[in-house]
Amino acid sequence: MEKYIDTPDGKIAVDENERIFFPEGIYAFENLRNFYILKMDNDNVFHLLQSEERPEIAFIIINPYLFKKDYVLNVREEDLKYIKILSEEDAEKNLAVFTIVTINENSMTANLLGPIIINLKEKIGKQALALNEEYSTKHDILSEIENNKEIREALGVSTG
Amino acid sequence: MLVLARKPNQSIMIGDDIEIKVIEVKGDQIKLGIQAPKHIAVHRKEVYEEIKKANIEATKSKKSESTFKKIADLLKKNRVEDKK
Repeated sequence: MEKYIDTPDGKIAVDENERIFFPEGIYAFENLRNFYILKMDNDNVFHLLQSEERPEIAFIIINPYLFKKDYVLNVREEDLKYIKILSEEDAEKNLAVFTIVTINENSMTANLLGPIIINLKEKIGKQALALNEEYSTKHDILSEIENNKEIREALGVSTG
Repeated sequence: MLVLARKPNQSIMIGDDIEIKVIEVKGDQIKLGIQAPKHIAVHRKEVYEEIKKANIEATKSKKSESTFKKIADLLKKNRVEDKK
């Protein structure tokens, strides 16, 4: 069923069946429960996790496996059970992992410490806490990529 | 906040299912043991605070669509090159 939601870029058409429910919201935004995942580019690299209740709240998200080849999802089993991922088969078929991206003048970083895990079949999501102690909330995406000078230029980010 | 004084090996019960035990005191560091049901997450407070802060900062990110398209193209190129 199609409907329109408000976003920072105006009204966007979404399919209500694609709505993802976050029973606990996400940290600092615990009362926001309904989100849509919107495309940002044709290659499906970046997406927008758009809040339905508060149109001005939208998180840029990216699949961590895209920029970090050795990324490991290490969260409590209870977190996976919470979004109804109960087996490895479930995980393979229905689990999507995203990390929230922060962009400012000099950098583009991803929050590896608090990944967003989503069961695409049941349309439930949550922000989990990573058990890998070495993961940070500000993992530099740019340094993971070889040609980062090109990307910095594309971003309009200073190389200093 | 409820404040209780404990000595090493003494415990505090929170509800029926959560136990916090003072394992060891060394200088200004206290080692605590926590027993809680699996569905209750237990983490250092700083971690929660850090994630909240990062989420709030993330909502202030602003970049144009064309920038993302450029970066997506470069990331895609990076992936393709890996396969060689």
